[in-house]
Amino acid sequence: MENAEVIYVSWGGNGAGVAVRSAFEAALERNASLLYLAILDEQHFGDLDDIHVSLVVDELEWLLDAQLRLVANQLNAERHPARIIVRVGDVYDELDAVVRSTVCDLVLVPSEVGETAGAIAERTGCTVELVSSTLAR
Amino acid sequence: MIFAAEEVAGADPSVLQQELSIVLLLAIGSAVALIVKRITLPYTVALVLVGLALAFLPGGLIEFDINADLILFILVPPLLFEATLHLPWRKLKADLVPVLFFAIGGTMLGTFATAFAITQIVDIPWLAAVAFGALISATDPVAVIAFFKSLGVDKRLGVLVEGESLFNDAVAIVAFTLAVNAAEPGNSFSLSGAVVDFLVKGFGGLALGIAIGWVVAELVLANVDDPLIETTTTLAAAYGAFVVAEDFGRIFGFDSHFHLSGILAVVAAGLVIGERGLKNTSPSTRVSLNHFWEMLVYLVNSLVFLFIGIKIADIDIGDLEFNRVVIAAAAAIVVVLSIRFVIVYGFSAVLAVLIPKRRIPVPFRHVAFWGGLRGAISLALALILAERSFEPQTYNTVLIMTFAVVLFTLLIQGTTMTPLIRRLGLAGTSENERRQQEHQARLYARRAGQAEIAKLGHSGVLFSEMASALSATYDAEVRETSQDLAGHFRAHPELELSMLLQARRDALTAEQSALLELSRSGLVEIEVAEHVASEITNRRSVLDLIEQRWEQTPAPPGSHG
Repeated sequence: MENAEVIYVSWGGNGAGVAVRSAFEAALERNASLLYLAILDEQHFGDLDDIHVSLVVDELEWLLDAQLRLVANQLNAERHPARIIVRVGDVYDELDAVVRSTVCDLVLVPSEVGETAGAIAERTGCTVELVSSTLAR
Repeated sequence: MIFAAEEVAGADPSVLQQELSIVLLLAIGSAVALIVKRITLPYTVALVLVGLALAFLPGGLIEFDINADLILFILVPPLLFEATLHLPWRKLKADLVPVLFFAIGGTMLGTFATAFAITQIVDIPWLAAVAFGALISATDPVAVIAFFKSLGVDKRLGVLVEGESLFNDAVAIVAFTLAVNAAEPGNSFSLSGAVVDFLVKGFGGLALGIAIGWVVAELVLANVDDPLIETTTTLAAAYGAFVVAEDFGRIFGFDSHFHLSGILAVVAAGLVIGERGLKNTSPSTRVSLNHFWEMLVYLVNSLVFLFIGIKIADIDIGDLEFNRVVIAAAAAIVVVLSIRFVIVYGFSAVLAVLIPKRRIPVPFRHVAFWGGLRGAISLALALILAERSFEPQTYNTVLIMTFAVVLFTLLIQGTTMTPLIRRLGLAGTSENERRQQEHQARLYARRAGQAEIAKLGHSGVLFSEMASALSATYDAEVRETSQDLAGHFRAHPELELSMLLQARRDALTAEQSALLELSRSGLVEIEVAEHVASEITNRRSVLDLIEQRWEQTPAPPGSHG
């Protein structure tokens, strides 16, 4: 699929490094670009004022961009297209909006919130798979 | 020429004796610190054990008057101040309701429940039992927090335990003072009077501490850029908040007996300076300030835990029968543990219903229960009893019960905390983080060596063949260490975001330092530098938010907890 994107969606969580790497590998396998969608949801960030939210968005973009570059470097995939989007709001609404603005091939969700996969698939019409946030040892 | 002590101008032999005792105690503390690096015994527990042994040394070697005033007025303020200085206000604020619920409700319930239970087993007056219930409700987090740090336990657990301890000290002292005063001839206990007294002393102490903290943060730290002056000011603030609160009536010329809560004044001053003041300091000041407080707290803690051991071993049971001593000690331990159990699990269950978003996870409850160690404050308050209005048999019984609980919690609970934390799966990534830091330290050191060889080669100090050979060796080492570090991150990707956050913090600090230099050199106006620096401060401040909230385990949208 031309310009297809694999969307990895996260709204926080320890061990995200493993999940990001798994997501990157999935994008490489499918020869699709990776879109890392980070959502500041109501539950974790709803109490912040607009100024703080805006600062968190900027800093999180910076940090996640660095994390994505690090993962790309570790996978020797520095030239593979990958980008970060940080959105604020309801997880389902924001994910749906992003999916509609892209050619979505696959949505990846951290396994800790695997119970959301069905709802996401129904809402976005996209295939949803889980990515593990822990290393297989 | 060697002078005898008396020949030194004005030297007082008793002062020299006390000085010698302190020197010996510090030397012993250092030796203990060295030994515990090789054995698996917590430093504070080892100090108590050594303190117990010291009491059996021949007289005259260590002669030091360990009294309640020394502990409460000299040793406790810096410990409290340093703890609050580094207690992240945002995290404390997020858990302020549970912390205060435990510190105020838990301490009050613990005081009276302990008093009631003890009087059913041990024959002591009700007010003496209340005094015991209050003094034994003051938890001491020093040893527990040290475990949390070394094991990389979730910061929220540290904030909950430390926050409860900081505030319950104050509540316990007020309750203790009320009970002791009521026991004096001609006095009686009035609940309404006690509540008013508690509110006045508590809020008065907090207000005073906030005022002193604000003055230091906004007037001194924000306007002075000198690490020595700024550090000295924080020391003055720590003791100043305590002294002014405790001597408030006399200093301001009204009732000389009127005082505010010194403990809460120190806690408030520390929180304000930690939250507002440290942001106003330069990176170099922050470094020297941290070093100073770390050193002071290390010294004070060493003395406090040695004192606890010495004082417990030195106990005089007076006319008490052996049976009474054993029963009182055992009853105190069982009662205190049982009531701590009820408070921690009961209050946690209530909180889970009242504020589900801030519910305390079950493993945290186990640690909060078993980690409720007792230390310096309990000991100091028990020593005060000996000077007050109870019969010798009563205060000896309270002393024995206090010492039994302090010793049990430090030696039994203190030595089993690490396995408990590991068993509950709360030990974080500290071992991996430590290895990561080792790799980083090696890489940093080798890069420095590599740069030095290159410099010597360029300057001609080393002849070129030698410089080339050394450089090649260093290049190989640096390459190898770099690969080790990269491999470590591949094996432990959970470290990545924490590392990125730390690196980002350091980088932003460096950006601010560079701006300061730029404005000093006159290349940009100070207002411009300050404006850009404040933007960086804002960016740095949200890193804490990201660490606190983004790194949380994700929950499904709309769920709580």
